[in-house]
Amino acid sequence: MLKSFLSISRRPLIVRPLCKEGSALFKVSRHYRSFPKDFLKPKKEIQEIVPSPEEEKILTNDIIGKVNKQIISQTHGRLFAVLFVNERQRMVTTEDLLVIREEFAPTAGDKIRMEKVMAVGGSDFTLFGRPLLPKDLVYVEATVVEKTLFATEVMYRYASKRLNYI
Amino acid sequence: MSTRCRIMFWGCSYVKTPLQNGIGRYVPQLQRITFKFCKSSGSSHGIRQFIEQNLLNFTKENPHVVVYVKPRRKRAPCLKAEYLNGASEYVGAHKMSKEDISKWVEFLRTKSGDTTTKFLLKRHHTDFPSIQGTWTAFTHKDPKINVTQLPNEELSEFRLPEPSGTEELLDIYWRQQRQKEQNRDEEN
Repeated sequence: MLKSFLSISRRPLIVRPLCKEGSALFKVSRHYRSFPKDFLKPKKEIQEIVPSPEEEKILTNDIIGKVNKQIISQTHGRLFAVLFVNERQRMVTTEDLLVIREEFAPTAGDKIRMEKVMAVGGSDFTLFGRPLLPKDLVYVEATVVEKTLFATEVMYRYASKRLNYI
Repeated sequence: MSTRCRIMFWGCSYVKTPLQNGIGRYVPQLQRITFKFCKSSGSSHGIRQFIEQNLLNFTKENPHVVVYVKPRRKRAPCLKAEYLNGASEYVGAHKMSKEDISKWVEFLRTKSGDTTTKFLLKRHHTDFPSIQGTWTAFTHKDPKINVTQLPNEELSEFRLPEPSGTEELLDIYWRQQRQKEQNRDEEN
């Protein structure tokens, strides 16, 4: 097969059928997608069941009620929160340790409250903020446990042999 | 040096606090600090000033720290800090000004004995990494794939992550056809 493609010839280029049945017009290569036999036909119609606005309202209220029930009775278990800290998102649970590398005003022993919560969730539900959740809904309390110099970073510089560094 | 090489050379460490420090209560880790200085030499001038002016404030604000002041003749001045886990830190205070010494003292105060200069592998520590269950390749897949007979034509299709242009055009075309049929039905 390969030989016919590599040879330079004055003969007309013969495009060999690569699949036995069906169309022989498409060459299958890495960059092109292989089409199934009946790609021109429509795919199976997936019937989307769209609830009416009243039904949707009932559904949402039901779900919100369940979430509220868990929150009130404190049966949600361990929660996680996605915080927005120094232009980065950090996922956090209780009894966690976080290292903040940037400038940080509080010192060791200070108790801080982190209010920029982007998402909160337990095993059964997750609340997503757009982009942040309200402060009175959720916040994260933390104590600053240590304030030191960050671990040493080594900066490497390449100098070529031409400059007699070797 | 590659990153991996660099990490092995300098050593690795993880974040930790002794005995889960901040959870119930916060215990400051500095146990004692010793100011060693000479009463007469010029290099100890700064530390002498610090002892005269700032040291009492420091002791009042930090009653958990035991402060020793050790005059040593003909010796360079230094600070020696010892922590609850037994580790110690040495800071040479030769020719330091009062302000520099107060900064170093603050650094030693907020530190813990656990800190190292080693490469920090992760900037967080959890004992509970997953709450909703760790992701697997089968997490959001239809469980019917457990029960299919292989080989299966549908599952063996070559799929790209994004639909190709032809697919999108076909989608649009068939959607239009369906719309026309629906409109025709509604009219009838």
